[in-house]
Amino acid sequence: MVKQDTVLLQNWLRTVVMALGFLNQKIGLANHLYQVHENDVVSNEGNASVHARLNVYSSGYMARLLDCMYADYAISKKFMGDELFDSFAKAYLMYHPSTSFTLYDLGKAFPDFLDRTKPQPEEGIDNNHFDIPATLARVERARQVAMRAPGIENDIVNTNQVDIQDMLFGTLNISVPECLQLLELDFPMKRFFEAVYREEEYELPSSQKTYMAISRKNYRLVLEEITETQYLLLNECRKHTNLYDAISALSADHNISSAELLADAFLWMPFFRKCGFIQVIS
Amino acid sequence: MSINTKLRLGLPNLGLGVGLRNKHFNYLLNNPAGVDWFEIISENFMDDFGFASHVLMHVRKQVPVVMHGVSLSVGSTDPLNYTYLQKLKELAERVEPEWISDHLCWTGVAYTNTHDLLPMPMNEESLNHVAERVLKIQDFLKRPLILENPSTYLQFKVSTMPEWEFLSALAKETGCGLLLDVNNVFVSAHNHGFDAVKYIDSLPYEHIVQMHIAGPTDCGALLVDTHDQPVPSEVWKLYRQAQQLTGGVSTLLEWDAKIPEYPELLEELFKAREVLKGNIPDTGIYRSPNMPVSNPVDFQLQASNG
Ligand SMILES: [Fe+2]
Repeated sequence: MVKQDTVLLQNWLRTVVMALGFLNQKIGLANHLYQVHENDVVSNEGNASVHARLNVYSSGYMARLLDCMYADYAISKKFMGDELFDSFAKAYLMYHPSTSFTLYDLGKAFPDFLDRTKPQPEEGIDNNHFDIPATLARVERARQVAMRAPGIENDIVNTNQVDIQDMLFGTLNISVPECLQLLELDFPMKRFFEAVYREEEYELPSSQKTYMAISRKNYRLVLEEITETQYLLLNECRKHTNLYDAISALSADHNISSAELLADAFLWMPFFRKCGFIQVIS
Repeated sequence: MSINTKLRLGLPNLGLGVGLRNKHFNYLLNNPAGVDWFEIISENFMDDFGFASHVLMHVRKQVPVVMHGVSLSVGSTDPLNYTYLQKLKELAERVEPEWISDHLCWTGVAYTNTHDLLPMPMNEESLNHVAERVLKIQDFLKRPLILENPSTYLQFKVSTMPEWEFLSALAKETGCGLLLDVNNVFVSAHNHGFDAVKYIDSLPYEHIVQMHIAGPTDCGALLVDTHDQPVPSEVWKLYRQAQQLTGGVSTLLEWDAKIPEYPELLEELFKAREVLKGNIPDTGIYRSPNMPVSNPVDFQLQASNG
């Protein structure tokens, strides 16, 4: 008989808890891998059977983490419906067991998983509705990240109006909060997302390249659709401490006139600041 | 580490507390804490700079806070996770908790995390393994680790000692503190047929720093630790016994699923005062025909979208 040291017992029980299949199959696999029998491992005194005891851990594992997926992707679940969501979430958990100490990482790869596992549309039929769940999940995930990342709540915020002179002469210092999430999406998601969230009537969005910014201000999430240039500029601002430098870099990289960009940015700044996308540093 | 034989390892009796839960965040921003102290789930606040941390610091200004972890995995045969320990230490620097606790369990092996509190075999080999890790953790955190007895649903055949003997030896060898969850004693005693009163009587009481009270679910052959019910009479009786034994230690009511409104939660907590006077509430154990989730964790995820 093999020596049942703590290493072996933990690997055996981990298999019973995390392997795929029904309890009998999981136990069978664990027994086979570690050359033991459950009745030689688990004490069978008391009212409950060995299988009933293992079942608390084994069924609890999936149910517990599924509850976490519900909490993390409540809006995706509303859209997909309970049954469909469950089947994808269960498959996701089976193929992406948690390797992190925090539950916040558990659903991290779910949008990509939905993308990889979506049904393929039949040839000749233009049906990209299958892309919507992954896109929705991506927005939902970005909101979760924006909620926890460092924001500007504890900063002394400069609320003075931006002076065009400061912009022109490169003296307007800026910072982009870590909580800002910038997304490039295949559907316009704002109205659709909000309708699903509020359980209102909605039409499925049609395929169209769109951009979205999600941030947090005064502990409230802000979610806005933005233009491609706004998206590029906010991305560029992350790399600079000065708005003029960001504009110059964007202008050079994308061959956009810097005068035009300066004029646009001047108009956009109040909106960016109001939404917590960007901060002016005194 | 020199072995501390003062009551509660010299740590204070904080009184009556509850877990800080998302459901009550808005209430707590607008109302006084109403409790002597809060317990937080450490992992929820690591890498959090949002609303949850804001609420934490708001209550922290009013009352002491204790950090209670669920991912230390002190019994695991994987190497210690120093990234995790570093985050724990950083959080402690931010929160300045009265102490840091976790469970006598393992949560995963082979670098996976089940997010469950899995049972340890109880023998010399596993005791040495855990003791060695506790010493390393205490060395790293520069403070005693407080370990909780989990609810368990199975025992390993290789076990050679009861859990209380394992915990007693561990406490004496490492100087660690004990978080005595009287509900977990009740649940495990029922599931394995041992005597809960004897279990509590046998612990080195001077190491008991804190207690948990909670309500389980009766699923027929097994009791399951669901943290979603009022505290039943039997658990209150064990609580009274333990409080008499220890001379009084910090008490925390755990309620993690079907969480009631805050005032109702405090009502349940304050029953503890009556219990110490000998007035045990007449509360039965909730029965469910379905297998509920033991050790629910989904409350940890903020409902930004619910
Ligand atoms: Fe507990």
